[in-house]
Amino acid sequence: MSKVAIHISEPLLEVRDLKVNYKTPDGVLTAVDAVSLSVAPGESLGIVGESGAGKSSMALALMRVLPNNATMEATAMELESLDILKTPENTFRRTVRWQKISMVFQAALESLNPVIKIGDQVTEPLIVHQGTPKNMAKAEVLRLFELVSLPAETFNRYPHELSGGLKQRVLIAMSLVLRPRLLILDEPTSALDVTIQAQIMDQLKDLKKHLNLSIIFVTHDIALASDICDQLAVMYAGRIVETGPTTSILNSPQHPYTQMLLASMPLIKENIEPQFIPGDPPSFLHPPKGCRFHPRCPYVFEKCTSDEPSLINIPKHGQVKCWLFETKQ
Amino acid sequence: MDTKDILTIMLRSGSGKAGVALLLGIVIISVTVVFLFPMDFGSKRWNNPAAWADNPKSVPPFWVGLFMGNNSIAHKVFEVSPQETQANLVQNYSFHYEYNSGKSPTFTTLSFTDVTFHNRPPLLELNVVRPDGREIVLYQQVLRGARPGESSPYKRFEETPLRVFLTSETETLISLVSFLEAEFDVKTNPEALSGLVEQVVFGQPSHQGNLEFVPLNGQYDFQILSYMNHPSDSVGSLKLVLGGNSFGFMGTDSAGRDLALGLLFGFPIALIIGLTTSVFATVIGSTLGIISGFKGNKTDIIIQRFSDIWSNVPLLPILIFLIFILGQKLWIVVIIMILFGWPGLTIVVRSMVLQIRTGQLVESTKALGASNSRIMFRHILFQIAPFVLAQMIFFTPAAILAEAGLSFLGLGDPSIPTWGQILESGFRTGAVYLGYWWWIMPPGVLIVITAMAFVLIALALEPAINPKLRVEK
Amino acid sequence: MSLGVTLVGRALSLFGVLIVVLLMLVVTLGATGFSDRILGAIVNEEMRGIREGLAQTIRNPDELEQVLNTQREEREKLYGLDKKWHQRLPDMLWRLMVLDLGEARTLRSFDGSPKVTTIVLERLPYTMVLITSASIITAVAGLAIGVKLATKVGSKFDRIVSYMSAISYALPAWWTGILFILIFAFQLRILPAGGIHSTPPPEQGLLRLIDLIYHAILPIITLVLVSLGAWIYTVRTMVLNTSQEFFVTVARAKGLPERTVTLKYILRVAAPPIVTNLVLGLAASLGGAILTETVFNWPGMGRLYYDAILAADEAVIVALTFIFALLYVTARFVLEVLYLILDPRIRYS
Repeated sequence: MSKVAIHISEPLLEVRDLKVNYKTPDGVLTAVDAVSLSVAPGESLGIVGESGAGKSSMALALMRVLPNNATMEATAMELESLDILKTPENTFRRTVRWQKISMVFQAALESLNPVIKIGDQVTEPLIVHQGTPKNMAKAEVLRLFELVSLPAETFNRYPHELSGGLKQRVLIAMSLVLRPRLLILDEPTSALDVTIQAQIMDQLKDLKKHLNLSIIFVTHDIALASDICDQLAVMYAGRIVETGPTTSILNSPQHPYTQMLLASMPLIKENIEPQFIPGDPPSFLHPPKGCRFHPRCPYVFEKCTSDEPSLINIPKHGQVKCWLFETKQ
Repeated sequence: MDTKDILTIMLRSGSGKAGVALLLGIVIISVTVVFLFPMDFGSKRWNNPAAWADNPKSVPPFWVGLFMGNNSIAHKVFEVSPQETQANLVQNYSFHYEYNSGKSPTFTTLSFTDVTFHNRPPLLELNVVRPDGREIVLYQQVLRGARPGESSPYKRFEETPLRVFLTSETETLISLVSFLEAEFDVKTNPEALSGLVEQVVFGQPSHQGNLEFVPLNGQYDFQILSYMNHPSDSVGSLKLVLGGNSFGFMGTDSAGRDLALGLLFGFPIALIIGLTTSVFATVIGSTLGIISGFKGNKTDIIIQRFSDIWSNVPLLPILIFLIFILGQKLWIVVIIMILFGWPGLTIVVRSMVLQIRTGQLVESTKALGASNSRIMFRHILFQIAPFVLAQMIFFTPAAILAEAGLSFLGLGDPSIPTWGQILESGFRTGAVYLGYWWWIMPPGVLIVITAMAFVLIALALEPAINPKLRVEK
Repeated sequence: MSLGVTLVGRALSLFGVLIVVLLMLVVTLGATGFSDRILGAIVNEEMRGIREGLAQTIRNPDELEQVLNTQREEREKLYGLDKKWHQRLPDMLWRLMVLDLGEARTLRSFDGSPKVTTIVLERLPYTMVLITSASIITAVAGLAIGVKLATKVGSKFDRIVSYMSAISYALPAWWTGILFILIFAFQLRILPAGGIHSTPPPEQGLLRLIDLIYHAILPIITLVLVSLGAWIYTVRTMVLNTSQEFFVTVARAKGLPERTVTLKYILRVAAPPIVTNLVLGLAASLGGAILTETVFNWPGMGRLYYDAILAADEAVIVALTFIFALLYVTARFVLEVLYLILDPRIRYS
């Protein structure tokens, strides 16, 4: 399987054929299926899809913090020539987690320990990983708080005393304390109201510019992703169905799912009614045969129901996983 | 989640299957017992010493006898119903006893019932012809004659039989002294033979002239003769018992009670105690929980404060205290357990109701104009039903165990035998120290198995109630 | 400041609990006529002695009856029998509140004192040796194993312990005790069947203590075995519930050592319910275990309560109930303080 996009520089993160399986009493379900992607230094990749498309599982897999009943495999998974899959757990914990990859989690409300003060939770990585003395760690964290517009007194607060927006900022500040190379943002704003969402997105864009971060932005909101990302990958039912530069995907979506996803977005400027995608996302336990999107696809033909398409290169665009493009090639 | 889903989840696990199988067995036994046992089994049978008089005391089950080889002596009962008096005015019954054991019978009793005579009382005689051809008259007695003011026909032993304990009967001892002297040239006296009756009857002196006996195996022919004085005189049923050293399926206690019967009777009682208590406690607990969670405000505070204190009252001490004051009645025990069993559930149900109340279903039902009580009992109850059911199942063994503990302290209802009471009488009379395991183990094992059946089912229901755990398995 | 107010409020409401429990007890004793019956029996017993004494000196039967009647009235007044039970009640409660536990009617301490305080203080250490130490062993072992188990959910070990806890819930301690006596004391003959000392008890202090511990082994093993499973399972479930919280995943993603995650992110958060079990369990253990103490012939608090009921010794019943309630209320107060320390969400709400 070929790479997601062609890069000039050496990629920071390179993932090939990642698979995440969950063992459940009803059987094994594959939440992430043969996903390949790569992120260059300073580049940002958006992963877009409906909720339940396997995006969060993929993010957790990159940090190797999947739940106990989940297993992962891949043909390659490298971060700056370090093998994510084969590094021993202890080394991985000490050298990669939060140091090289950190993450802002989707559930801001549940991401913080309710009985430990904010300050202690945010300084913790500095103290544990770098042995920074407490007072210096505090100074560093307060500087970061300023960067994400958090009042300094937040340091001595408990999570339940903060609003959702403040908690989300705490999480962003916390994700930056060790100055990681790669930041994974998993729906960082979905629990917030629109004005705060805009503020946080602005801050993220600033940070990206200032810190030269590589970002993986996981979201169900393609507009939000296009706001910050250079590249986009559209996921459906655990698989990537279309990738390419943000502009080409927004302007000329190829995969029927991407087209429908874009059509479903309410646009204020243009006076077009948003279109809903008919049907439900497929069950991971009993996925449809052939192309997983075929039960909801308006262009479905015989081949779609029996055989699974592979990613097909579209020149000057990216890749699309759809039988419609087989002939065009 | 509906009932079918719960059942599916429950039966998927091994513990669920085991629990359901156990419970099914217990229920089948209980139903059988309810049909076969008289309602007043406790007072008329179990606690009536006369009913067990002919049983050997404190002996293990018969199947233990199978492993004792030559040391085993089976319990033997010969019983005959009344016969016509013959023309010569003699009633004659005979029994053949095949004796082949290294031990002699542990005791011998002879019982008569329904003796009727018209002028002079009959003479009753028991004799035995041994395998060696020697004959012993074991008992010979003329019944007492007419009492002053009584008129013919005279009836005797209609209610309680005349029971002769030959093992220590003076008549018998005297008869054996002359038997030994005549046949074996052993000179002795009745006092010296006390406790040796069966050894003499079923054996012969090991050496000439001493009082040690070796068993004499073979066929013994017992004959019971009633010599009448009037053609319509009669003797009712007769019973000859040769005591064994093992008895019944589960052995006997120190009163000779057949433990198998007591243990069987315990099945329906345990189920009734457990289920009655848990059903009522659950109904009260969940109703109050729903009211508390739904009404809120003062009602909520009062119910919660009260349940909080109530739930921490230790059950056993309060049971002991109240039963001692109010009397040892099973229904009082059950009522007390119900009264003290509900609060834990109330607290949990309330918190569940609070969660559901904020949910959309109730909100929308309210918007549609349903009445408060309708919302409460239709929607909320429907959602908490699986949990309440599991709690009910979980509470059942607690009630069974509490009653067993109370009975073990000697505060059980004397008219209704339970497993706890059997254990109590065993412990009190020192069965533990004497090693009477058949008296101590089975009631405890049955208590544990019955409790286990419910616990296993509750365990299997857990994933149905707590979906968090379902994913993990 | 508001913290102090909260605590005082809780203390007051717990004091209310104490009063309510005692009221219920006294009302039960009074309304069922139990109290009157007991006091009546005491008076009758005393009168019999007095009658015998007076019969020697007063020959005239009428005169005797008259003297006896005045004597009876005096006694009835002394015991408060001339008043209805609800008039006697406040006085009784007041005496309890000032910790005047009174004198037992028939029960005596080992050296013959009828003072309830002496009797109780004598029994308490024995119960602590047995029940409290068993509770502590169970709690410590249960915590260690339960936490370990929560990390191995679904493993064979986990399943075994699940079944063990089910069995331990269904296994009454007293019957297990009997079983163990049968096996260890009478079949194997390696441990004593009951009691607190060998006969004759060793004279020397240390040997005496060792002898006591030797007698405590079997009951302690029994108690630990039958309650350990349930403890492990409770801890496991609480730890498991917390470890599925998302902030635990976050802590792991932060690269924190597993030890830190377990201590700071799981145990610290799961602590309140576990501490509740622990504290209430310890408090309850001081009340003794009636059945286990009966089986092992152990003169602890539970056995004392049972004996008091069988002997209808009202003073001891009331005093012990008061002590149990006091223990519970104190434990609840300790918990209130612990919650404040353990959970900031309570502190500020």
